[in-house]
Amino acid sequence: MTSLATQPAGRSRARRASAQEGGAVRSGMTLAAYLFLSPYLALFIAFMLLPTLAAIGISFMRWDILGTPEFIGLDNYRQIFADPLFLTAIKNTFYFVFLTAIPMVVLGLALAMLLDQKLKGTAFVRTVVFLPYVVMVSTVGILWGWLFDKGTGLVNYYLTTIGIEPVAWLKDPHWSMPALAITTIWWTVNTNMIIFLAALQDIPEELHDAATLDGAGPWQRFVYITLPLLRPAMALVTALTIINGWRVFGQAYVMTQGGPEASTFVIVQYIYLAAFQNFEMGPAAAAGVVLLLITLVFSLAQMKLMKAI
Amino acid sequence: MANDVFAKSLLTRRQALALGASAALAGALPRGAFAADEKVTLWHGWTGADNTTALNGVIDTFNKGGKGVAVEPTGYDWDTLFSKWVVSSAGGRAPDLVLFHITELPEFATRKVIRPIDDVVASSGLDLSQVPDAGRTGVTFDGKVYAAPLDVHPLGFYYNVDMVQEAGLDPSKPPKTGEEFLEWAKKLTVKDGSGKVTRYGFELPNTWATARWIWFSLMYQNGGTFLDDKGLAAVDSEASQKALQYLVDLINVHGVTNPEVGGNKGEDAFASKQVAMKFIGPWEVNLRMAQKMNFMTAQLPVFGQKAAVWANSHCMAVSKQKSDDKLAADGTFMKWFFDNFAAPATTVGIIPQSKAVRESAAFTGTEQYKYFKSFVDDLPNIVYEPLIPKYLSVFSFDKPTPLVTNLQAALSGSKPVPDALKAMKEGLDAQLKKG
Repeated sequence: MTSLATQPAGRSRARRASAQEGGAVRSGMTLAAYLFLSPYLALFIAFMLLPTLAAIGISFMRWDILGTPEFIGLDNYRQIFADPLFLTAIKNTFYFVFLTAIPMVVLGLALAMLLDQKLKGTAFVRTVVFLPYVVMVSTVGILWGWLFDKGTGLVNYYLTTIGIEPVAWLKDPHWSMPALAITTIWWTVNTNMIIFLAALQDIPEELHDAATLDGAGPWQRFVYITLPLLRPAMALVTALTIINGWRVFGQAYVMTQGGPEASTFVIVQYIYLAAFQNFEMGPAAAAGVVLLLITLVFSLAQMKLMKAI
Repeated sequence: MANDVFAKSLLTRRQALALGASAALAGALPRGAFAADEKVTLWHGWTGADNTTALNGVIDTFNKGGKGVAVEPTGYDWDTLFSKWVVSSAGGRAPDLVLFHITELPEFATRKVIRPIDDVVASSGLDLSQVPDAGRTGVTFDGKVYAAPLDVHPLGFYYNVDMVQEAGLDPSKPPKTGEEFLEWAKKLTVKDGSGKVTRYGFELPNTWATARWIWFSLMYQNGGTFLDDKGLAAVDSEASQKALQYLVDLINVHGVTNPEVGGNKGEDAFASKQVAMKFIGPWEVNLRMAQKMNFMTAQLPVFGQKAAVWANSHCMAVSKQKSDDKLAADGTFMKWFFDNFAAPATTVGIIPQSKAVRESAAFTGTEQYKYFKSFVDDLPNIVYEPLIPKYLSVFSFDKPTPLVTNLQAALSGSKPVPDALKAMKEGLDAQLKKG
């Protein structure tokens, strides 16, 4: 009886002890996890979260950097939405996202599939395709500025050899944004390619072998095996491409300064001008918050769409 | 182990430490400075390789001169310089001296990032009487002198001598009127067998600020002004319309220029022989000489009723600081720089404000002077853009402001001249009225 009575109590003690040990281990692991995360978290809080919160606060203030901020409610938002230049910037940035998003995803995937082949020299070609990524935006801008020059540029030289009249790429308001899109695709498509390449290499070879044995051709294998298994990578690439598209600045600033006739004037340049040329931090912060909301809405919509597919 | 190394080496540990400390100190000191010198920081926007070398060379000479002041220059592109300066001022870390344009002075004086320097001018002996009236007015705001005027850089006329000779024109007699200029422009425009233009007579790009400077000059030549008596835009005036219409006609009626040729960064239509003539400041003289181009400069032709030419100037101001401890050192360098401006002026390609320097052999004896001469001759005709506190946002170089966007629209033909100028006035007035 005693033993019966004591047995459960002993087991219970053991369970408690084990639970305590488990708890200690778990809390130790939690602590370790936080410790590992802390360098990133500290930087994230200091350089992302706090400035973002500060920007939201400043968007309700009148402040020229030197003076004392003054609360003015929604006036900055009213000001930017009444400014035709801000509406032009939103329209232009949307056009840029439209021009770059699909080519960046499709071309990124196509390049990844090409470079996923086990052929001689693939590693070399991968390096060549990835090289533009390490070039600074100012260099990219100046280089493509030369390439797009109407009189002496290489782009027009090749176009005229196939009978196309020279285009004033960066000086014609109709062609300036496509020129920026082409530059951006050349410069950054490789990051999408790398993500797709990693995802392609995660697809087990056996699936393709089995499908081949069952008589599936390359197109069927691509549609029924590759594409479904690439869905998470596709979602990531599409989201990143759209977010980066909305945040475009460097290329426009170096190559066209927002012109001609404001045809390449984008939201981040509006923010830059308001903050660092006009020293109006309130409207600049308000425009920043609007950009944050736009990217948020686009990202959520895109994630929902990917889930639906 | 470490002790063994020191014991066996030629230096004792103490000597090595002393050497290291000296090296560290030398690294921290400004160019060519002595340890006891008072350090003065100078921010500027002369970032081109030649300009930086010229400025650093002059500063080295000053620092080695034993004046007890050591100047430490730092260059940024203009946009970065202004934003960094204002932010640094807010944080109490502004540089001691800043070099910028006089047209930007009212903005920085209003923002109180610079201080009046009447006392510095008096105590250092900087001789402002050497500066023409326009230059002195340019550095005066609310009745106080805020900066030392250093140079003036007006628009000038460059032409390719070989092309002029090939066209049967006399390069020693450049056009002086609008009619003569048009005649040159027509003769210098070359077409191939199919009628396609292979070279334009004149460069008038719709990017960058050149077109604005040319239109501004022509507007004043026609008797117009940029602002009216109330400080609002007068860009829709008859004089302004006439000036812009003349330029648009050069493109559409006469076909002697194309706004899509030249102007962008790194795009040199003059050197690549896409154009034969251009209007630009004296800062291109050194570039054209380095390219070994057979070119010449002349005064801007008079297209209207009187001579007038766009110009701007660099000046050096003292940042507002918590204490005035360094004012004497600031003044020492400012005066020396003002008096010894021939060397940087020649290398950068600008005309010294000081008459004494401008007429000195150090400036007139240079090989560049034959090209600078026409700019010097045009000094009585210079017109500065309005010296207003909102200069940076109104006269933005190439950003899509109402001024830039509408000027580009008129040149590209997407808006008729009167419509473009009306829209420009509305946009400018909104900027000028903003509190």
